[in-house]
Amino acid sequence: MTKFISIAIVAALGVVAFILPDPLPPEPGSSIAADPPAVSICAVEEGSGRSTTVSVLSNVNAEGRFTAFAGGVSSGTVVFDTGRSASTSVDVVDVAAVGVAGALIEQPSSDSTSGSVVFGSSSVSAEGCAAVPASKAVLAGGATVSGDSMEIQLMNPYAGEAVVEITVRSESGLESSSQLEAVIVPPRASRLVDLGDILPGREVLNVVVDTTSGSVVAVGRYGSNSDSAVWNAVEPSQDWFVPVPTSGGPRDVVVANATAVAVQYQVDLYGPSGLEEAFESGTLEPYEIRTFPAEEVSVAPVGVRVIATGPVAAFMRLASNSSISLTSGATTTAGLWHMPGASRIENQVGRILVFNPGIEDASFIVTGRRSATRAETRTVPGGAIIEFEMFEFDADGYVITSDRPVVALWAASSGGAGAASIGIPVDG
Amino acid sequence: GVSSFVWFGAEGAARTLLTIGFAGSAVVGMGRLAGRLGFRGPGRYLSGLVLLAGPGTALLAGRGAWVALGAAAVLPWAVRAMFVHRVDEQKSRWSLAGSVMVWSLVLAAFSPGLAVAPLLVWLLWLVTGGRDGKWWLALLSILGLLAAAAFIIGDPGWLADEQRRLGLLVPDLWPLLIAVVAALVLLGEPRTRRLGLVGAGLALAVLAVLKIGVGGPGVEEALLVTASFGTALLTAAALDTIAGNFLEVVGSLAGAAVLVLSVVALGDGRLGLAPGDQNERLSFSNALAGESGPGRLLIVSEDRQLVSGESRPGPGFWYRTIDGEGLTIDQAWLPAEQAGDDALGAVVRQIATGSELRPGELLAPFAIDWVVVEGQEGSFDDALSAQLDLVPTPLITGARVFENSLPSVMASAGSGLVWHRDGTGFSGPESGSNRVRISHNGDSGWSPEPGSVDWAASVAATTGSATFRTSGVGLMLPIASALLFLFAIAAMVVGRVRR
Repeated sequence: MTKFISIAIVAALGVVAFILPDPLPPEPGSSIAADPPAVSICAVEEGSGRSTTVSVLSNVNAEGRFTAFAGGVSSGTVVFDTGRSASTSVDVVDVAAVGVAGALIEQPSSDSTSGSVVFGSSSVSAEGCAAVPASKAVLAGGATVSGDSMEIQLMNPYAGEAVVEITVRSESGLESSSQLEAVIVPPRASRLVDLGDILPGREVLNVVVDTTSGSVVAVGRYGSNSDSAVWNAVEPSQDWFVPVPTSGGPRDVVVANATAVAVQYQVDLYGPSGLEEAFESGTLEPYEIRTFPAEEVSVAPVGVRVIATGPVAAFMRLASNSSISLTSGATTTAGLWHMPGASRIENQVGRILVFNPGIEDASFIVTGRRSATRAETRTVPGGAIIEFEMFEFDADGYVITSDRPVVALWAASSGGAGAASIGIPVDG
Repeated sequence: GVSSFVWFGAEGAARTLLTIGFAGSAVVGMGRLAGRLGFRGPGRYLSGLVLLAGPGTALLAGRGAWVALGAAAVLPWAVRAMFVHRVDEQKSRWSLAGSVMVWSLVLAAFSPGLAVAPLLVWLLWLVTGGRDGKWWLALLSILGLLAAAAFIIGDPGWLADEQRRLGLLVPDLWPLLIAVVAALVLLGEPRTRRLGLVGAGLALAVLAVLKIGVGGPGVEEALLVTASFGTALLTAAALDTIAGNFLEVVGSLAGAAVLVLSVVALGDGRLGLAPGDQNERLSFSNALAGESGPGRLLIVSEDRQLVSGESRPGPGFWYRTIDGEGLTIDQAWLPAEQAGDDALGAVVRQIATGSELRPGELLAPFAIDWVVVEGQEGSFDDALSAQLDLVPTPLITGARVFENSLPSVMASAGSGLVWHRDGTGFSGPESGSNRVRISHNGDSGWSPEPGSVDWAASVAATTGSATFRTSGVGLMLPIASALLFLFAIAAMVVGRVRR
């Protein structure tokens, strides 16, 4: 009897130990959604007859830090204050004579933006500074035909080494070179890849930069005649908005396929006679590049929308006998745009373009940010684009605040040289 | 430490020898315990292998809990000390008492939670009709808690905080197997039924309690070792005689199955311990230390098992700091959180957001000069991809190592006046007016002139030396337990002399 009672006890304990659910294991806290640091990374050039000014536009009166980096070290750093105008400009010559280098801007707030303007004796270029390095970025619109120089500047401001793979397609097809494979960008360094040396004589170039390790911001540096252009490599997208200003010379919209598969694309044109859907359409073969001359449509400013079935990148190129300007389009419309550096060009003829791809009219305030800020109110009809002259000279930049989503771009010319830069959309 | 000293400072060799010693002690201990209870079969020594592995100890060893093996090795001796064989009835009470106290103190030193295990076994033996155990010896075994009192008082969460559990899960096969073997033993030879019932009852009861999930890591560790001990007792009963009637033979075979299952866990040649030597793997922190000596490493992983010892929960990962000179047994369990730990937790969370450009600057006040991210790449790696002062340095495989480019010292009197480690304290250049900031939690035990800088301790730099002394209960309890140990040894000697 005792024997069977013992067996019953053991059996009961065994059943209990078996059927009880396992206790919940200790868990760590919930992951925090990654929030990139509030920085911008700018291409700068100081020396050899060129000088750079980096402008910062913010929504707060607070401090930030500018650090130039090259060769693995910090070349110089300065703390800046945006002041009551929530804007400021830093002349790189006051920090260090760094040659072609990168600059890390630690922004006063997460919605601050930066842009760089590079002046030479007969050249000027401008571009907004990238806030978040893209793991895959596209650069198109340059060439290495005789007389033209094209370089890719790879900037790595961080403590870890970065490695990129560069894919290039020209009119001859996909290019191959060991100098484009496993390109190492050391920490706190800026590296130039001279496509004119590696792939000379190419008329069209589509460059795709894949970052396989670390973080890199890539920009293109293009020299044609006496002018130069600096423009960002951009993360590809399926939807692009490209404002095209008036110009004294050819105006091109360049569309590049960022992938190894063919994509369908459609170009909608917003011209003087209104919206023309599917103005152009077709197929882009792997890494293929197409150029659409806006001149054939109108000499007035036009807006272009590119829609594709796969990731592409769109750029705007203004060229004349003496000037060259290149900038990307925008992948989004927004109600708030920053244009840092607009109006920093001496003796300039500066213009701002506001492109409204929507149906309804947009009313916006354009503010020139400087110590004595000045603002104007304007309207752009639905499906139209307007171009107007800058009214505030020597400003740190311009801000567009619209009641409807729009796209903004600025362009300027000075002494025969030209520059253009797409605006930077600001969330909220 | 003592064994390393005896073995000419070769820590690894000393640890290997101790591990082998643990194994031998467990096997011999189970054999001697079963022998004292009247069993003479082959199973009594073989059951030592079940004690070393079984349903519980194997999990702890696999997690790297080397001390758990020591506890398992001592447990059968502590239990044996409470039982007096009829042949030993003439032994002096002093000798018996001394033996109980010695083994109980050693057991509690290895695993405080196991201090009550001998008493529990005695109770079960008594309830099932056994009369070999002495009640006064069982009560004396509680004195073993004196060896662990200071530890438990200093960190009660080690016993009580469920969030600190290791989360080790015993496979469901074990309670079924134990119940089956126990049923067969209970149906078999009457002589082995009590041992089988006590073993199975003990093992199944603690396995059920483990599933409830009560208590902290100390309770979890004790329950796991006890589960293996109970299973070992059952195995000793099942394998006491191999021949017999059909049920007895089947019971022996079932016991052999338990033995085989345990031996498999031990078959890797490391007694189930996790492979590798973490101190050797992270020795770069000492080798590459500057003149100020090594600081600390911050170990981070999304897999808790890849962080040696106890770790604290972060946002999506586990983390802890390790002394750059190497992790010692006493550092395996983290102390109760103080201001410095809270401050470090806040810094780690800030870094984990990915928005911190200078994480090295935030970690420098904690004397952290290396960050090691173990295992698969995860959110913490993403957070460190865009920062300026933690330099990726590929020093070990399977982990990402970052060197803090900013100087981070354990003790400094400011203006570059670094103080160096000196025993458990620090020493450096004397300075009449300066104070030395020490990257440890502020505590009045530091001298001279203890103070604090935020969460960190500070002392006056007047004497060129900073020392730490425990006082009050924290000092008295270890002294008392040492005195009790000496008393117990003396009692054993006196008892033998007087017999």
